[in-house]
Amino acid sequence: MLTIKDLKVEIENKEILRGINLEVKPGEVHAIMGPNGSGKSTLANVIAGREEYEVTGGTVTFEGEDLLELEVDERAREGIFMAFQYPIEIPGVSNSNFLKQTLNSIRRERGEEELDAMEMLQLLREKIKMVGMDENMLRRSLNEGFSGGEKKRNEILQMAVLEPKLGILDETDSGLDIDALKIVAEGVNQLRSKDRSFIIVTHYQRLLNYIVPDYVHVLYRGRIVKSGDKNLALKLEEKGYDWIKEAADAMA
Amino acid sequence: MAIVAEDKFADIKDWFTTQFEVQESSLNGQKGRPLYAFRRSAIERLPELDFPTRRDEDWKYTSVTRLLKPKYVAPKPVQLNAAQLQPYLYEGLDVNLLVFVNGVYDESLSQVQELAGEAILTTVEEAMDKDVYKAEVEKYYSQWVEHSNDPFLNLNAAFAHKGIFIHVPKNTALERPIHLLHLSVPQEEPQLISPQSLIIAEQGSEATVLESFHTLGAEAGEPCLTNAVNRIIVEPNARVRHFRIQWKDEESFLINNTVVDQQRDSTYTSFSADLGGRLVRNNLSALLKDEHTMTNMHAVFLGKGDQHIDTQTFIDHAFPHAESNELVKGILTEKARGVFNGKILVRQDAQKINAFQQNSTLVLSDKAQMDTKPQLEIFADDVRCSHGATIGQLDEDAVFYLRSRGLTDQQARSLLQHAFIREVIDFIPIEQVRQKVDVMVEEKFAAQWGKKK
Repeated sequence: MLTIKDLKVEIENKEILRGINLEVKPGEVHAIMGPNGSGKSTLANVIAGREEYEVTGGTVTFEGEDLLELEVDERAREGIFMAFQYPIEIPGVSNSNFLKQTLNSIRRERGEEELDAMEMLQLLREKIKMVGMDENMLRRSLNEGFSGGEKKRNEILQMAVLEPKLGILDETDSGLDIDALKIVAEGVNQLRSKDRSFIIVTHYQRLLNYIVPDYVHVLYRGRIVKSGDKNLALKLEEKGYDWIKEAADAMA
Repeated sequence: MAIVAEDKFADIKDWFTTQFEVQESSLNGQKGRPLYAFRRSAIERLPELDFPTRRDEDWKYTSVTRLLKPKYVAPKPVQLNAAQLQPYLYEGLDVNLLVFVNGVYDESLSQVQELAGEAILTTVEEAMDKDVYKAEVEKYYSQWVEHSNDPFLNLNAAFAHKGIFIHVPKNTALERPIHLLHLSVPQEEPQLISPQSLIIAEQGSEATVLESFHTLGAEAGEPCLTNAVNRIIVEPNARVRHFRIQWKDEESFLINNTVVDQQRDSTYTSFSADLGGRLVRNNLSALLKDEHTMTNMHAVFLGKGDQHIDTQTFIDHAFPHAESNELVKGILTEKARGVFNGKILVRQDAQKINAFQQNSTLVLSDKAQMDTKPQLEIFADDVRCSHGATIGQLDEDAVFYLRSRGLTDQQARSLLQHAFIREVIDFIPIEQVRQKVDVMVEEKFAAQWGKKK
């Protein structure tokens, strides 16, 4: 589904990613972990299409297509969704109106028929239950005045409505209490399927108790320095990142 | 030694005087009526009045030179049919419709149903002929004709074809809004169009007035100057809602003077939308003449191309325990210019005032420009006044966020602009009006993007 080869990325002439290789197959869940400043969020944002990063080398292909050639909105319509670390508040745009516009825009792209108001309402009601939100949230302005936990849940709601092929969670768990974390994880778990893949960027192992990954990769200084299964995450939780840093620094 | 400053507008004043005589000579047997004496004194005072220049503080950012360049003539009557009106009506809204084509009242297109109680909807001319209203009408009319310092007020009085007189008697609520639909059809010569209304809402009464301004066939003729005057009297405990929706062609000129008197416990609420016009100047004043008044002024303006839209508000708090709210939002793109000057005067006796004012503008291109000036003069010591002015661009993080969900760049920008304006549109209490304005705003943006593409 997603193939990243020797990806090198700079921001303001500072090299952040120094050759990333990653293969994500349909249905897989990959966790990207690493200390602060290791490049985790950069990787997520480059896949999603944020423009301020400069790709200086390597390739990213999504279902055989050169992803780096696509604009952020084209990527979204191709089926990539990133849950933001800091979702933006947008006054004046109601949550439901926003979801209608985006879903219909994506459906048009896929050659599917647009949903009418009734079908849309039904769909939104079903999805909003899934993330344990109140229906009032649909009428409110997008993220405006939402608590941190509500914002993150709203991201998962959007993901549930838009049904992407690849979901990316950019530190969705940071700042969440355990209850909110469980709800977010439960939402993601319900979306897991044999065709849908996830990349979960996180600093903490805690989220991975609830969303069990197939693979765990550790990013350090712009490279994946270690990969493993969920046990790698547990080891990181127990021992911290220092042993990885030492090993990687010794190699370099 | 006396220094006589040269009046650079002397020629145009002469021109207007000549046009007035042309107009008068076409009148038959009406000159004896009281209104015509006022019209004549209005034009006779014109030479003494100064057209504003940019040296006048209130006109610092708006020059009338371009607006006064054309040699305006009295408007030509044009016969339209009902189908041509259709796009400008508010579907599903039951109104008393008064149609003006090139400023000339068209009775055949208008639809006036019986008004509640003893309410009167007639012309200023006829009201002056009737003993009951004569004194009242003449009182307000003479204020704007004989004591004004503004030549545009006098031009309006001299050239108005049929000013509208609305009188809502005590404790009467006008169920249907009164829709004053002003359509202009440009001709070979530039026309001076002079809409005029005098609205008196007596104690405990309620009325809604909706003015709208549109152009038909702009490309077929010379741009018009629409020089409108509204005088609104809101007596004790009365409520007046006033909408002004303007989407004329982008070559036309508009001057709008609205002065509202508010008596004790009265409420005046206005909403105005300016989408069209080459040069638009709005002067909206509320003079609060007693305690416990409530004044709401909401406005939006959207400029592109060479449009210049100037909104001036003045709220005169002379008495205590009053509240005023102003929210003015605009979007400017290409080379458009916007001006907002919001004056709030809180006189010494006007304690316990709540005055709120906010002006926010999105400036979307390098060449667009906004000048905003909140002007608070407060002489009372126990008041709450807040004001704010922001000028900014679209939040690029928000654009990115929307795009990351699959909206195109244009869809995302359009959605954000619309949301920005919708905060004001949401104040329109009549659903059909709110929806139509909403659609107009969307269409204006669509046209903008269409042009860019």
